[in-house]
Amino acid sequence: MPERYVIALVELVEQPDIRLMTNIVHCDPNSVYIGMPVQVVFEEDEDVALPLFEPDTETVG
Amino acid sequence: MIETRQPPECRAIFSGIGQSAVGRRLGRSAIELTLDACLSAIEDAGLERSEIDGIASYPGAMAGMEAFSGPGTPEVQDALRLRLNWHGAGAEGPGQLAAVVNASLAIGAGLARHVLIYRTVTEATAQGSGGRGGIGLSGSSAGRIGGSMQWMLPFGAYSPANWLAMYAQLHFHTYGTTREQLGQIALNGRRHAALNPQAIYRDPLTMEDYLNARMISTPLCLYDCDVPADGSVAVVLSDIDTVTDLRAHPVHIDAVGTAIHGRPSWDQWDDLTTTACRDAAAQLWSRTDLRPQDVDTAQLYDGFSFLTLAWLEALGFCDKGESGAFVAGGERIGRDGELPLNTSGGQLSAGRLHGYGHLHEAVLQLRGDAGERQVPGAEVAIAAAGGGPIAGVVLLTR
Repeated sequence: MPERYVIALVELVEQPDIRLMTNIVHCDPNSVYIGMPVQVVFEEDEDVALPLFEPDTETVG
Repeated sequence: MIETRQPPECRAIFSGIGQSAVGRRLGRSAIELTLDACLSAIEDAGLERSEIDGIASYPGAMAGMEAFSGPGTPEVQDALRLRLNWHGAGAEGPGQLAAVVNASLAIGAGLARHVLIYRTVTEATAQGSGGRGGIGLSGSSAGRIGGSMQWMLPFGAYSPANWLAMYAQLHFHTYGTTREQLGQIALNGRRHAALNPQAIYRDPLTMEDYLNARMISTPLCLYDCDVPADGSVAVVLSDIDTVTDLRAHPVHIDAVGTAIHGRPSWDQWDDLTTTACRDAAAQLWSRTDLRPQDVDTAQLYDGFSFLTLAWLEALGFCDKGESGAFVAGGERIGRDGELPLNTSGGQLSAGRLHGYGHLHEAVLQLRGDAGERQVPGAEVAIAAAGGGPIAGVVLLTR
């Protein structure tokens, strides 16, 4: 893990009663805010695919 | 005629309290500290070891996590040569105070008359030699991890500091709570610790110190996290019928709260602006005629400062979302304030005795034995422990 990283609870648009504890990646940690639209990116590690999230630039208006 | 039925926990009184030496890296074994606390509590109650017929602890022995768990009840039973009519310990339950709740119910059910309860930690020594991994909570693991940690560890969310930080961020975002407000919990603890000879950190802490401290998991800084300690606390709960045999002024259990209605996890909890303390607190007030405004001093869990804010709201000392404003400036929660809070210094300054330092302090205050930090005329106290999906609370009266 880098020295600074973002841990977040992400609510799924497709299933709002499920949350994932995850990391917000591919952005400046200071730019992350509560309510920020994000989209999944999978990080492959052997036979595991970790769901991480990056800013959803299309939804961010 | 309708008969008023008292909750069974009301049969139990705190008859004795004891505490071992508490400090950083004492270099003494957990069983040694435990026996110091237990023998002192038994003596304080005016009882003989032969009269103790029950034992309880939280969480009981945990393999690989001995510095966190302390010794199991069989080890303590054997060391003290106790003949037990009831015994129990376990990590699953309404938080750290589960052992107290269970013991009070065993007494209410007539299974035991004098129950010894203890909580022991040697986390300071363990972390001194082995880092965070020394207490068995390491981020590294050779094999695949199971249970709830498999959903958190891969993302660098190693500990409650990380999980709770997200709750704190949401509270800041939703209600406008500030670091200066949260910091009052740490500053208040330190002011009170100055009056507690057994507290670990007693030097003054300023808001500037707090705001400049190393960030651990935003917005929680170093002083928002409690101090790993070595130490043990023991209490004796006794049946109210034995009160004439006892030495100390009895302190009564008025009610307990143990409920958890949401999904039992940090990430799937129904409302992230509150925690399980919401349900435990609501149940507590449903079992008593006393109200929050009757409480003379509150000892609210501060494993992290933010948990104290969560308990203040859940217990109705202020409205939901208002805890930041409630503690702002610090006067209201000081020893001379409207709600003297964490008068021993709490875990943030006195040391992480995992809920039992708070319980010890509540009993001490109601006896009028808190010395320099005594809240004058305290008759009702509350001790609450837990965070996230575990919570338990006990209301005590003189």
